[in-house]
Amino acid sequence: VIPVHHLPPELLLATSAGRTDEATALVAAVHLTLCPTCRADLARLDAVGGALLEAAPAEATKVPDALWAKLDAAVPEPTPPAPAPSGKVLLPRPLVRYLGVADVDRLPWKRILPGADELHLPLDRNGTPVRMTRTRGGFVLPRHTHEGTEMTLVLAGGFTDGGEHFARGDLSVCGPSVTHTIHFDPGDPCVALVVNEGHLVPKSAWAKALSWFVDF
Amino acid sequence: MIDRFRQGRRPTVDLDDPALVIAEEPRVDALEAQDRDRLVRAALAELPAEQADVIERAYFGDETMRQIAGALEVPEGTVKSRVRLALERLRRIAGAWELVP
Repeated sequence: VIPVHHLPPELLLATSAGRTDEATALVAAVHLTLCPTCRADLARLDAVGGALLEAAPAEATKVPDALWAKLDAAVPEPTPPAPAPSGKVLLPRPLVRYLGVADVDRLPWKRILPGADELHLPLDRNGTPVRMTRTRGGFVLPRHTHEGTEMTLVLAGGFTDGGEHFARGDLSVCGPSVTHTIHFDPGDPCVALVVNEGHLVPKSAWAKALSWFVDF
Repeated sequence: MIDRFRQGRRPTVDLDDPALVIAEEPRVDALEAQDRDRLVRAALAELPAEQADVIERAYFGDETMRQIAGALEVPEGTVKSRVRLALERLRRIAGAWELVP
């Protein structure tokens, strides 16, 4: 299945220009592994970056008619669904390189709440921390906001946030102004890669109570 | 061992990754490099100056989106929307070029 929620264009550009920090580069690499749409966009930007580097004269910009014809003929086919993984969560390699283990069930999860586990990734460089979360189906994360931007990339299961559904490969980017409640899909646990620039700021009594125990 | 493996690495896509999700191949062969260059240059030449400027700054100016916004004295959201518009135009002018394995 092709993701619906993509890398924002400015993150694609920063990725192409090599200007992302380690946390963002990891999120981008994992999304790009799961998203041929964004890989195509990144390839376009990479080509632009290459062309800019060469800084060729303007007259080289004329496109021959034959080439236009060729492009008109090249309408991409709809994408077939990817084969369903057989029960196991297939973790993309950029992530496995940090985890050392490819099996979600064998990761050293730390229980932070009944139904919610997390795992901090050891980054090479100090910077924005990255963690993985595993949340049981049906869990509701009460109304809260964040001090900074939050990026959540779904690896398994799914959740609904503000009427939008997020499943494997989908990236949710929330600015600090966003207050949200997250409803996890019933059924299998949701596994996600999460980058928070700041801490969670609870907005409801229940979230305030949670935040005593959990450093989101 | 893992540390040694990772050392000095920047997270990037591994095209041999079994988790890689692949779109169906387009009906034409990949463009030749020369044709692709022409298209990219045409796309660049057609970009409005304010969009091209943001792209160039991102590659060569050593600037983040926030810094670009500061330098241009426009809100960061304006810079982001210029990047988005530029990317949409690139998709249109060269939508079918196939660079993706």
